[in-house]
Amino acid sequence: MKEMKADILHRIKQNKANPKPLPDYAAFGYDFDPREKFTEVMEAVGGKVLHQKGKINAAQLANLFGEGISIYSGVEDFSSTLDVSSLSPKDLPPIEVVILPVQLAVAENGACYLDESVLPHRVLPFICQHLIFVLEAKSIVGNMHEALEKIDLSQQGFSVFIAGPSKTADIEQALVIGAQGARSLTVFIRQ
Amino acid sequence: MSKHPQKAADFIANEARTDWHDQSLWVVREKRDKLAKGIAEWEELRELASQIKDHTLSHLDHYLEEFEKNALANGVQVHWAKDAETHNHIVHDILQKQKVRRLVKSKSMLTEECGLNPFLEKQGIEIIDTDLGERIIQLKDEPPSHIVMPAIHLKKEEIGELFHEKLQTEKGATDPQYLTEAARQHLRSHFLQADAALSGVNFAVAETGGVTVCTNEGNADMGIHLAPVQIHCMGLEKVIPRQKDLGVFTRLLARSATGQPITIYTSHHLKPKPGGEMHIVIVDNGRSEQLGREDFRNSLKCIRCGACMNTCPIYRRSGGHSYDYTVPGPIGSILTPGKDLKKYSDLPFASTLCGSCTDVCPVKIDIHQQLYKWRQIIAEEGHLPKAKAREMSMAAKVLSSPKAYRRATKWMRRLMRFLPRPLLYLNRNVWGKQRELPQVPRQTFKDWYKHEGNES
Amino acid sequence: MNIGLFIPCYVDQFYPQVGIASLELLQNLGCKVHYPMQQSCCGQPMANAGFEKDAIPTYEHFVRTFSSYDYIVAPSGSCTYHVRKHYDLLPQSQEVMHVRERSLDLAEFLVDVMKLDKIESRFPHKVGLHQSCHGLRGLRLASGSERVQSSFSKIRDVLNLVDEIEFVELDRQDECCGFGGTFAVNEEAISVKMGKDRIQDHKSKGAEVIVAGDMSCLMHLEGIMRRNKENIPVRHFVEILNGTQL
Repeated sequence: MKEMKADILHRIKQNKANPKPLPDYAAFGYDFDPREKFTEVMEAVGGKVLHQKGKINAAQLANLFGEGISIYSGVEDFSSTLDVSSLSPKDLPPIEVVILPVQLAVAENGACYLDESVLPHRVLPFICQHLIFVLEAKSIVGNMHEALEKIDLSQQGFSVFIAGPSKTADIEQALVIGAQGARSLTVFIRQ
Repeated sequence: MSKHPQKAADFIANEARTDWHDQSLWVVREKRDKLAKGIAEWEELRELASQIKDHTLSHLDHYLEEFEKNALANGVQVHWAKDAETHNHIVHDILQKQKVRRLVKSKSMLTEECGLNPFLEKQGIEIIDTDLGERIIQLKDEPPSHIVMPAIHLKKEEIGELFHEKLQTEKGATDPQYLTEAARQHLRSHFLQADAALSGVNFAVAETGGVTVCTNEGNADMGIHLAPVQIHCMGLEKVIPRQKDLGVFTRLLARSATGQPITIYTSHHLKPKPGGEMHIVIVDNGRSEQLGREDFRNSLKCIRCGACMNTCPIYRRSGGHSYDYTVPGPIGSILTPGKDLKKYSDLPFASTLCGSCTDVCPVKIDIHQQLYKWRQIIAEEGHLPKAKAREMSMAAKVLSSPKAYRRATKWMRRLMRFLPRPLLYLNRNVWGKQRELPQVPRQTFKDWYKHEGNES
Repeated sequence: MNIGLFIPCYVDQFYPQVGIASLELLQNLGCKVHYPMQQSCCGQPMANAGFEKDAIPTYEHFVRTFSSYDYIVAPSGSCTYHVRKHYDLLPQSQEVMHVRERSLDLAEFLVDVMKLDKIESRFPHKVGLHQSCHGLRGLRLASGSERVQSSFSKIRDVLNLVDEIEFVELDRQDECCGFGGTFAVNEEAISVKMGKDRIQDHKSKGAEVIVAGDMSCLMHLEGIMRRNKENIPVRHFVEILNGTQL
C-alpha cells in the first residue's frame, strides 16, 4: 500500500505542470433581498416557506400532515413523539416528520445548512417522510461564498446543505418530488 | 466505416426517437443557460474554477498528501489504487473484512470506469445501485448513456415494462410519479438491509480531509448513514485546496449539469459515524499519466457536470452508447485516446469542432482544441485508414502549389459538370448520399478576376 | 492600406459570386484591394482531418502569398480562424505573425477596421442568420448562447445597415449545421441530420433566405435542401451588402 502511494505521488511529481498560482477572491456581491430570494428559490424547487412569529404549535403541524403522526423535534417548540436516541438508525423508518433547527441558509440556491450537532442520527433528515426546518431570518446569507465563510466544515463529522425535498428526473426528465429522501420540505422562517 | 459513425447511423435510423433524445437534452441545455444567465459573475466563476483546478493539478501531490493527512486525523482509512483492478481489490478487501454481503452504491462514474459491479458480483456480493437512473440501467443490464442522467436514452414505456417485470408494478404503467414511488419502496428495503455503502466523490477538500457528495435524490446519504461501513471512491483529480473553493464549484456544478441552483443534497463527510468505519479510496487509473500530457492535462479539471454532452449536437443525435465508454460525449472523446489510442481513434473525429462544449464547460477545458490535437496524434501514429492518409497527402500537394491547384480543380470541375448523374452519385460519393453536390459555375473566381476583376 | 483578398478554395470553385461581391464591396468602400493569383487554400482540410503536418507547405504558401499586405481579408470565418489560431506549426517569424494577426474575417474587417455605419443596399426579405461556428466561437464574431455576456453580432450589425431587412428568431440561435469539413463524410448520417434540423428551424420561422458568413455551411445546407426539393435560397452576407437580390 505504501509503495502504491509513493509510486502514484512520484508519477505526479514527474508529470505535473510548473506551479500555477492559487487565486484568491472575496465573496461576490448580489443585488437581491436575501429573504425574498430565499423564498422564491425554495418555492421554485418545491419547498414551502412559512413566516412564523413565536413557536410552532401542534395545530399547525396537524394542519400540514394530519393528526397522530410520529414526530422527531430538534427544536424547543415542540417535543418528539418518540425517543429516537434509543433506536438504531435502521429502526427509524416509522418517523414521519423531522423538525430541525437550521444554522444558516443561502438565498441564491435555497440551501439550508445543518451539521451533526443537531442530529441524533445522521440519517434522520433523509429517512423521514417530511422535513421541517426552523430558520432565523437573520441567518439567511446571499450566496455560497458567504455561507462558506461563516461555517467550518472541519468541526463536525458530518454536515449537509439541503435545498429542497428529495427529487429526481431520471424518467424522461419528468420532475418527481419525493425520490428517496423527504417527500416535502417546509421551512419556518422566524423573525 | 469505423465504430462511432456506424453506431450513430444506427441510432439516427429511428429519426423520431433521435429527435426526442435531442430535444430532451436540449431542454437541459436551455435550463443551464437560464440559470447561468442569472449569475452576473458567471464567466468570472468559470475563470476562478479553472485557475483553482490548474493550481491544484500543478501541486497535486501536495494536496493529496494534505488531504490524506487530515482524513487520517479524522479517523478515516485512506487507500491508494494505481489502477482499476487494484481499486476493485481494495474495495473487496474492505467488504470481506467486515463480512459484507450486501452493498448499496450511489452514482459513481469511477466505479463504472473500474468495472466494480461485475467484479464484486463474481465474488458473491449483492450490489445495488441506488440512484434511480442507475438502478434502471442496472436492472436493464446496460451501461449508463450519460454521466448525470444515466437512463436518458430510455422512454418511460420501456422503464414501465422493466419495472413491471422486475418490481411487479402494474402492467402498462408509465407514470413517472408512480414508477418513482415503486423504486422508492424497492430501494428503501435495500438501504435497510445493506451492510456497507459506497459513493463517489464530487470534491475532496484538502483543508478538511472530508469529501463532498452531491445528489438530488438523497440516495447517497441514505446508504452512507444507514450502513455501518461507508466507502468513498475518488479519482485523484477530485481534490480541491480549501473549504472556500466549494463555493465556486457548487455554484457552477448543478447549474451546469441540470440547470438547478444547487443539488438538493450537498453533504460533507468528514469522520466515520459513531461505531462505524469510513474509507476513502484514491484512484489513479491513468490520471497521473494524463497529467504528463501537456496538451491534454487540463482534461483532469473536469467536474463531471455533463454540460458538454447536453450541448453537443453530435452526442444529442447519437446517444451515449455510441461512444462505447463510461464517459461519453466531448469530454469522453478527449479522455479515451489517452487510455487506448487505437480503440478510441474514432472519437476525436465525432465532432465538428463547433466549440460549444468548450464554452459551456464550467472549468474552461478547451475540449474542442484537444479533439483537434488528438486527431493529429491519431493520424501520426497511423490509426487512420491508409486511403485517407493518401488522400490527404495528395490534397496537400495540390493545395500548396498554384499550378497543381489549377490543374486539379480544372479536372474536378469537368467531372462534376459532364459526368452523367448515375456515375457522379455512385456509392463512393458519400457526400452525395443524401445531399447534392454544389453546382459548378461556368467561371471560377480566379477566371473572373483574370478577365474582368483586374481592370479596376 | 493595402488589402490582400483571400478567397477560400471552395468559394473560388463553386461560389465565385461571393468573391466578386467581396471585392466589389471593399472597392466601393474605397479600399485598395488586390487578389494575389497564386493563392490556393489555408490548409484547414488537411489539419482538421489530423494531417496538420502535411498542411505545412500549404501554410507556407499562404504566408508567402499574403505577408506583404496590411490586412488579409476573407469572406470566411472558418478559414480566417484557421490561419489565426492554428498556424502554430510554423516557426513564428515576423511574416508568419503578421499574417496571423492581420487575417480578418470580412465582418470583423467591416466592423472593427472600417467602422462601417452605412451602406447603400436594400433587401426586403426575412433572413435566417446561420452563425457559423468557427466565426462565432473561434473569432467571437458574436456572443455565443453559451456565454454570459451582453449580446452582439458583427454580421447582424452590418446586415442591419441594409434597408428593409428583417431577421427571423430561431429556436436554436447558434447550433452547428453539421458540415465540419471531413466530418460531413466521416459521420455522414449525423452531418445530414444536423443539417436537416438546422433547415427545419429556419423554415418553421419563415426564413425566405438563409444567410451565413461561411459558404461551407451553406454548401452543406443547400445540398440537403436541393436533394429534398426544398427551396430556401442561401446567401453569403456580403452578397446582400453588395446589393444582390434574391
